Amino acid sequence: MSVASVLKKRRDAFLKGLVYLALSIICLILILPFLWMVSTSLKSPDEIFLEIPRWLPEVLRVDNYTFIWTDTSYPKYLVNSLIVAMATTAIALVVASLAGYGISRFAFRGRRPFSLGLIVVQMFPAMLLVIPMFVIMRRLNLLNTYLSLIIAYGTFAFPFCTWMLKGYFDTIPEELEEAAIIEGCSRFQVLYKVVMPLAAPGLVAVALFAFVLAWQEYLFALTFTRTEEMRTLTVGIALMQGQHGGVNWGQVMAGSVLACIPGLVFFLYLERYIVQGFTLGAIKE
Amino acid sequence: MKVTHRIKKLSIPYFFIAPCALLIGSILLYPLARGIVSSFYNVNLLIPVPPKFVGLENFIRLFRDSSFWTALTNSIIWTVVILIVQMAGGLGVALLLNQKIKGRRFFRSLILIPWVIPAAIGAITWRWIYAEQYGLLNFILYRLHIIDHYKAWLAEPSFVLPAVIVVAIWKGIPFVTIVLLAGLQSIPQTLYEAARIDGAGAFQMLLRITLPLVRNIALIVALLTSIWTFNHFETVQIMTRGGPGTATLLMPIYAYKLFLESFQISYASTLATAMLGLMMVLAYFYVRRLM
Amino acid sequence: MKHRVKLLVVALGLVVLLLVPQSLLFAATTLKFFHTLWIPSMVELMDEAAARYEEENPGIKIEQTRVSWTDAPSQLMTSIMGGEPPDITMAGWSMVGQFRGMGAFADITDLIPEEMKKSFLPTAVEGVTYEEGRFDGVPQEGCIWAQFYRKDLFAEAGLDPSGAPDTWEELVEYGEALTKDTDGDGNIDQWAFGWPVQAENAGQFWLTFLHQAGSQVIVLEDGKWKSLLDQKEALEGTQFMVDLVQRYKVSPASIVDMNWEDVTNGFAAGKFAIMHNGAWVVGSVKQKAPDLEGKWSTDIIFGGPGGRVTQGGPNNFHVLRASKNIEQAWDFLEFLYEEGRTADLTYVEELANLVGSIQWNYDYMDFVRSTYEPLLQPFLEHKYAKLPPFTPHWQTFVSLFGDAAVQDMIMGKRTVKATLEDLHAKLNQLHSQ
Repeated sequence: MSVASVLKKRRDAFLKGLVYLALSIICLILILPFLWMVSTSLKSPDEIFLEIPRWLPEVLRVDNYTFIWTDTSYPKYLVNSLIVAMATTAIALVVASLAGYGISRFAFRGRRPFSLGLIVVQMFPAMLLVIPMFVIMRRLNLLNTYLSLIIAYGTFAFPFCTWMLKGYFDTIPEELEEAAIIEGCSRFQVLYKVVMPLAAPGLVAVALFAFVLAWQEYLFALTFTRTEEMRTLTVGIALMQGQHGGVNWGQVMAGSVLACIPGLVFFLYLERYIVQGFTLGAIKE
Repeated sequence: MKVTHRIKKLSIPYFFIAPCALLIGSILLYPLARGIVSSFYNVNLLIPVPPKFVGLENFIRLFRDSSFWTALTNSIIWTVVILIVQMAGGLGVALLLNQKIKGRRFFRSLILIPWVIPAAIGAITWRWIYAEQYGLLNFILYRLHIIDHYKAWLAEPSFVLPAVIVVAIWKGIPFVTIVLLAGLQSIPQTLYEAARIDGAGAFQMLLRITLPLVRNIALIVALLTSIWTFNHFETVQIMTRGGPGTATLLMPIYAYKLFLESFQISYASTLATAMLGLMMVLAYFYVRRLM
Repeated sequence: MKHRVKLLVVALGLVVLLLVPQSLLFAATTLKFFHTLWIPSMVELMDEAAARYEEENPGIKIEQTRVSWTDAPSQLMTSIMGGEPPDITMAGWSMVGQFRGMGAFADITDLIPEEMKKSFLPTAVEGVTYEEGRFDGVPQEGCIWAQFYRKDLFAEAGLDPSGAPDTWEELVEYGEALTKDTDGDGNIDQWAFGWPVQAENAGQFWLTFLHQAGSQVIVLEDGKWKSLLDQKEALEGTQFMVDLVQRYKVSPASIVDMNWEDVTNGFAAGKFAIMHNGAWVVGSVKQKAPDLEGKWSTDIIFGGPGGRVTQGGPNNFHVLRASKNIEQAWDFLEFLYEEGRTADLTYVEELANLVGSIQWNYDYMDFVRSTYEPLLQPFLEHKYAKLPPFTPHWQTFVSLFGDAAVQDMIMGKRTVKATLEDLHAKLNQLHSQ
């Protein structure tokens, strides 16, 4: 073993160590608030605002979790959020795949304006839309239904999801599709049978984005849902706080920690595909 | 036969984009149009009179409104600072995550956590972290001898805007990181190998290979996060409500006050239209560089 | 084939019939009820009351929409503007001016029994009448604000721990003794007096100082609202408030970022020797600092040149003018005001009792004087309670200008005189549209 290669190995190890250190510090800062949330969720009211902050409470209040689960409408809120988020994800996948494929594969009149329009639409301030959309939902008799939220969230999600999928489809070579068309498949069949299976990472990225958007949204969930049975998690957690009363932050944080779990599960399970799916067509352009 | 076949062929793309276009058109464009039109009237929900067309009066009033200029200034600082730090920081973290180290999947999952936390809850937690008496930040900084006494970070005009900007960066950096990481990973390794053989150093490779190849994707994500950042509302609303004074009054916060606290719908629509206009100007510059 | 289709249609029809809720089939009247109750015991009570009413009145269904306090005004407005107004709404006093001004409330003067009208406390009557003798709502629970003080810190400073300051002068006097640097690091860490100034608190507590100075803030003259912020009382009240921070230095400037809970946390930790807060905070202090038991107490608010005045007043129930079931809605409200879980308290009275607040009628006051604990007694002095101005533009004024201006003055960024001139002009301008 030459001296040079030994030194190189040492240097590589040192650099790797630095990378680990840097990543650890960065990750620690990024997850610190979440850790504080978890810590608070296990505390009683008199341990939450101490001058010397305490990570581990003296009295572990696991009952904060059982309380919100059994004594409030939390399970209902959770189910509602799940239904709305999953349905939004499903519809976003379908619509964005179709539209993304369309922009990616065809050069048609209006392609440029449509693509640009997708960017512009994302700029709309939500507040501008609240009352008009309420009126629309009311006229369609969709107030206080899952569908009102699914439609609204889907619409907010489509622009970015379409873009993402367009970018991903751009990275898939067209030869495969050409072969299928020659064999007599319709364009829809080509999309469904040939392209989609190859686009798994892109689909995962879209699903993730749509899910997180639907899961966390507040203003429209608050406005379109009217009764306890239909409220979603974000609204439900806000309802656990109020004016003129002592909020039990331990319970609120317990609810919030639980609310983060589906997203976390999603990441861990589909982590493999997530990064890839966000290429946004970097390669081709 | 040939004509119908051609029509069918030409119309195919429209079928593909139809669901998307129809839904966006019916759900988003109609309210938007109504909103923009409203800025030319004088609707104030608290004063129930028939709406009167007032032309550009609201826009003139907006131009003369000191709160508008304050909010605009704050919003520009907010957007620019967050953009720069998120892109630079995101690129840095992405570069780190792109290294071949064990456990990088673990780090990649941890990085995404701020994205999963609902904005409102994140804001409340950060408010506690910044609290003067019992906040983690003061506790840590004091023990590290970086500050000599506890500070009320959100109560001092010179600290409060940076403080909330940090929170917005915290929330937005995961997304930027992931996209940039995807961009980095799509760069063929062969390019780096060839450069190494030619004797290029790490910094040169970064400058000559990495940056140019992520340029496109970086521009796209920069455009998107600029828009989302400019419109971002919940963090500041929950942490400071635009205060103290007008230190953190941003455009969306001002819009909220006008729309949903004082119900001056037309004037609020004027502000929203101005916001939209500003963003379109911003987007124009990006798109020109992209195309 | 046709036979099968017929069978399928019949089967589907049966399924649809089964799925359609019973109430729809019998053309029930749904009363939409908008409220901000969130404390579990109160929510439970309301659910119970609603269920009982539905039982006693078949064909009526109560549909409750719960919103958080901060979202209540915008959600109510959206519902009304969107064509889906509730029949009954709860309204906090900060909302009443706005919605009354736009004519959202129905006049129920003729529906309320005379006895009930006479049972309401004076401040409450003020809050639910839009004109002399014309009622557009009924008062519900709402608390009063007062002082909390640390007996232990008082004793340490050589002050009599049996009561909090009574006047502005006394407050400053006590303040000087109570504001100190307890750990010798050169920074003051114990302040005499704290109150919330973050967000909407700024304007709310400013009103207290204005009223204590004798200012009426804004008055209705010949159908037009006129600002009195240019009068010397307004100047005096505002100046005293700012002086507490800037001149006498008995309160820290950091209160501009504090809400009621931050101030409470400060009180519990010994950062504030005296705080100005609401009745519910009694329970909160006990929860946050159980080991402070016996070391703190409460007292009525101090008074200024214009007398003792504090924030306080009822939240109301209103029937909306746009409701298609005004009489039925009133019937439900009357039920809440006359029936109860037990014979002692009506439903509305019990709502107040559950949280140590007040139901604004004379009977309830008699009840609580004997049942509420000593710490809550100062919060029963309803004669000192004053509601904010009922002009529909007051909220606009504080939201767009007032809150920020108060915070700027307290931070020392703007002078009182110049700011008041500016605010006076803006307040009048809002009313000239």
